[in-house]
Amino acid sequence: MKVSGTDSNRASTSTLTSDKWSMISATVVATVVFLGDLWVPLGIAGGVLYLIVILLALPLNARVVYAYAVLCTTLTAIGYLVSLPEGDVFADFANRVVAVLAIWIVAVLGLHRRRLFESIFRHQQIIDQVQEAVITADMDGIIDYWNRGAESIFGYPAAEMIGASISNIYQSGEPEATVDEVMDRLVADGSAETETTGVSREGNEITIRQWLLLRRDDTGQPSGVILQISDVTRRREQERAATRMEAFYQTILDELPLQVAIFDPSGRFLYLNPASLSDPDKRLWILGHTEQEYFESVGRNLELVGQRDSYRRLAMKDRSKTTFEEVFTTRDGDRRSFLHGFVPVLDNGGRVTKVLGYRYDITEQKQATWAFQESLARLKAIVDAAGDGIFTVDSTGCIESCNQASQRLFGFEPGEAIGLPIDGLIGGLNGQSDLRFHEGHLVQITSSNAPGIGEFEATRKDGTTFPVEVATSMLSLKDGPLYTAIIRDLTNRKNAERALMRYNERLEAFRQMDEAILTASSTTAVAQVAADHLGRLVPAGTVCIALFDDTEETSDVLTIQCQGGEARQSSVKTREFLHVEDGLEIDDRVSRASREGFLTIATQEDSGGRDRPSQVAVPLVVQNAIIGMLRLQANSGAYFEDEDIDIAIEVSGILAIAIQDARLFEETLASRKRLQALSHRLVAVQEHERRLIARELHDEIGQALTGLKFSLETLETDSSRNNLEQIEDARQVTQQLLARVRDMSLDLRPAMLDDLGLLPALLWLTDRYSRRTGLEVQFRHSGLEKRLDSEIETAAYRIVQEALTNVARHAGQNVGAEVFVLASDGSLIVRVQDDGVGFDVPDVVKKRNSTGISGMEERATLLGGSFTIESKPGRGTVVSSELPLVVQETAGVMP
Amino acid sequence: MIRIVLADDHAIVRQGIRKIIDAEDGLSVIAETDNGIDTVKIVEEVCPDVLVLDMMMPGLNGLAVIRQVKQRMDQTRIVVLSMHADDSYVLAALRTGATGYVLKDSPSSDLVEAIRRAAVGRRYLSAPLSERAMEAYVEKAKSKPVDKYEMLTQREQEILQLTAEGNTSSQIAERLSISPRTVEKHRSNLMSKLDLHVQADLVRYAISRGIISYRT
Repeated sequence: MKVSGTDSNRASTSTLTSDKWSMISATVVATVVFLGDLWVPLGIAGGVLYLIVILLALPLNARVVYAYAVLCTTLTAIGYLVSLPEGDVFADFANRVVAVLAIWIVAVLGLHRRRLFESIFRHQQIIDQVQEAVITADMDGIIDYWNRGAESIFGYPAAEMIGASISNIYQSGEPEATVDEVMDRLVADGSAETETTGVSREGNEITIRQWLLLRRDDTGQPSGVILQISDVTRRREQERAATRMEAFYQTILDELPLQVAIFDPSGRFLYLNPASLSDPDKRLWILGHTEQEYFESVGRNLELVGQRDSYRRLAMKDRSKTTFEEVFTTRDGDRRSFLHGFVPVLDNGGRVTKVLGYRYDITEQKQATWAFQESLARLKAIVDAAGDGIFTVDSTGCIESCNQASQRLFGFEPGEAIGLPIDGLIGGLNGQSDLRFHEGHLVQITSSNAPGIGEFEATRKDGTTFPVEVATSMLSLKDGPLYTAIIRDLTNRKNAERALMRYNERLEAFRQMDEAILTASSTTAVAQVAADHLGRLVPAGTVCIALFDDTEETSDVLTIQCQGGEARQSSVKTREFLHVEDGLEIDDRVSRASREGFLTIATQEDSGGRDRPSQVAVPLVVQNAIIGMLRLQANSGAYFEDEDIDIAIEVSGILAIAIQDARLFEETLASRKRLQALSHRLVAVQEHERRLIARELHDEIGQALTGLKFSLETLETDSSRNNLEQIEDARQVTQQLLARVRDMSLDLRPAMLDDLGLLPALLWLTDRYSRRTGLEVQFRHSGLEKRLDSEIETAAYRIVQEALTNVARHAGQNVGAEVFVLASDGSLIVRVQDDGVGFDVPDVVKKRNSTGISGMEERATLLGGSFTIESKPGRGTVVSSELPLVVQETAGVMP
Repeated sequence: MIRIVLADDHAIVRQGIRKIIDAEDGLSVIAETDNGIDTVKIVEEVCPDVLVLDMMMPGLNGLAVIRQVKQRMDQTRIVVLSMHADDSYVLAALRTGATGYVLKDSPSSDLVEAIRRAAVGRRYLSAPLSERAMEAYVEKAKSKPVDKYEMLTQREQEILQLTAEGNTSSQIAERLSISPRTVEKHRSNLMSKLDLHVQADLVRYAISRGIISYRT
């Protein structure tokens, strides 16, 4: 190529040089002719000169010819303008014009010819430059064209071969039939393609591939043959070598236990080894088919194909090997796993020509892995499910892993604890034990006997601490020791221990209290003991026990300063004791206390800003009745926990019963004393009455009877005398005696109380009382038409009798008395009041020497009734009693 | 002839009375009994014109005998012989059905007179008893009925009023200078006396009694 290029440059240069000279000479000649014609008029004959000018134009280069034509045209114009008027102007002008036209024709023709030449030249160059041989020959086989490609393939130069026979290039002995056949096809089709063996100039055999083209002349008759020949010797040799290698590899692949397949870029099988598919018929069938087509033909799961295809395409796209694991379940239900690989095979241009696929069964390896993973997961589940925190700690003392329980215990988010030093989380407990890292070893300093187990104090993420028990163990791994720390939260156990201790203390205190209460003899002593113990159980500064006394409307208050203070006893008004400055009514206070078990009197703010009770009152309740109050005041700034109040309530229960017992005991003692006093008095009264009766019997009845006896004796001895007068005397005495006896009998017990009932008896009594004492008695009654129970009637009668007796005895002169008796459905109410001088009730009651009052009270109490006596000096006296009634059905007879 | 049954627990008394009666013309004691139960039986058997009955007898009280005899033998008249001159006894006997009432210490002629009158259904009372005295007694025994309210003590009346006026126990306690517990005790007492059960009853009672006025 280069050589030929240089040649053409040189040729053009030489052409240029010769053009220059012919141009200059032509110009000079043309100028002389055109201008000479001006001065030497030749007429038509002058045309000969112009013929020279035209001829000069012929050898000129095409472009120069144009310049020459322009020059001549210009000269013609100049000639026309400057030509002398004389002469044959027209002839000259015609000559010139003709000449110029002729020159223009030469120029145009010359350019056309030149282009033609150039085109042919270029084609020849192209043909020369192709590597393939291009040879033309006529119908006789004589070569008329031989390009450089032919020269390089066959070694003959063009000069040698043009005119020689085409048969020179073929190996002799080519069968005639073959040649004829080729020629026949050529003539029939106009072209043919064959591969044959040629011979080079050196006599080497060359495998050539030739395309034959029939050349036809203008009439369409075959005029020759154009041959295009390429040397395929190398290629055929390579192909043969490759075929030999492929057979070698195929043998290997056929014997390989690995499953191997080769795909063309569209995914069709080019090869499949017997390890992949043992049936040779199927193997043969599958070639040229895709895997999908095969799967469809045998009815297998197409899902797998899709996955494989996608990886194969990926390998083609990335031009690199791809591998993937395929897991599927066989028809028998076995889980199988395969490792797949696709390797793209590239040609020189980097295009993928084939894809090598292989796979092998990794089920067994996988099964081992699966089993391992499963056991690992199981282990993790166990560790995570453990209630205890489990840490693993590396040799630097940092946490390597932890389970869920440990995150929960310490308040960590998942993963947050990893890398933290273990001894920052778990520290010494009371200085007795410690967990620390020393020279790469986890060391437990512990006082407990069990090796590797100790109690420590752990710190949560938020800084709060809690007690733990830590068990550590070491595992020697190749890169150092690994420690396992199992952490058990002891909070609940410690709390339970503390609670148990507190309960024991409380129980012991209660026991002591019970014991002390049992030995205490009086309510005061009981209260004192209870307050003492309560002060030790709850953080109270002061314990107050108030016992209500309803009749006196006061409370006996025992106040005990708990910290070594002494007990102080006082008596205050109950309402003052209960009074608390919070606007609550006292009723509400008491009822709320008995409803809720306690009453908050004062509060104290705790650290959380909540109001907590600092002073509470707990009612002392016995059989739904509040007999007193227990009041606790916390030390200043302190407050009571719910538990303290529970204790107080519990103590109040014991205390209330103990106090009630003590009271009952005291009451029993008192009533026994009272009973003794009463029976003493009864005996005395009985004796007194007997004495009175005896005296009356002796002094009055006895005297009268004695008198009567004498009278009768006199009558007996002196029967003759007129003794009517004496008899009348005796009758009178008898009459008086009768009246006296009746009076005595009525005084002792009026018969009408039994015979006629309470109303006649009371009527009789009040009437007789008025007559005897001269005091006015107003008797009003209601509901007494019915007979009542005899005991009730008697009691009511005696109460009225006694009350009236007292009025007569103590109320003073000229007083009025009123007796009210009301029998209703449920009770008999008796009321005797006077407007006399009155007296101080407690004073009289305390003396307990009034047989009258205690007698009345005793009668009412015996029947389950009540008895009250109200009196103030100067304001009269009211005695009232209410007796419960069981109504007698017997119809009454009285008004 | 007036047929008489004599009932008295004392034999001496019966003898004395029998002598007195037998001495009279037209009177005849046909039976004697010494206790209440027998008396009722015998009266039923013999059906006497007059029963002379002691008020105090064992077995069955005199009044009870009268009641039973009057129920069964209405035609038998009863003369009560009693040592009780008290009006209440007389009244009780007469109201129960006795026709005559004779005191034991009255002259014996009183008894005979009483029997004769009783036999013809006329009343007889021995002196000093009289119809007028009976009436006076009945008058005296009558009483202006006692109101339950009057049975309340002064304190109870005060508390009733204050409660009805709407005061709470503690307010009442303040007012009266006593403890609220005492107030409640008084209140429960007065409510039981008045047979009231709830506070509303108490207010209603107070209004009806005019203790407080009802304001709308």
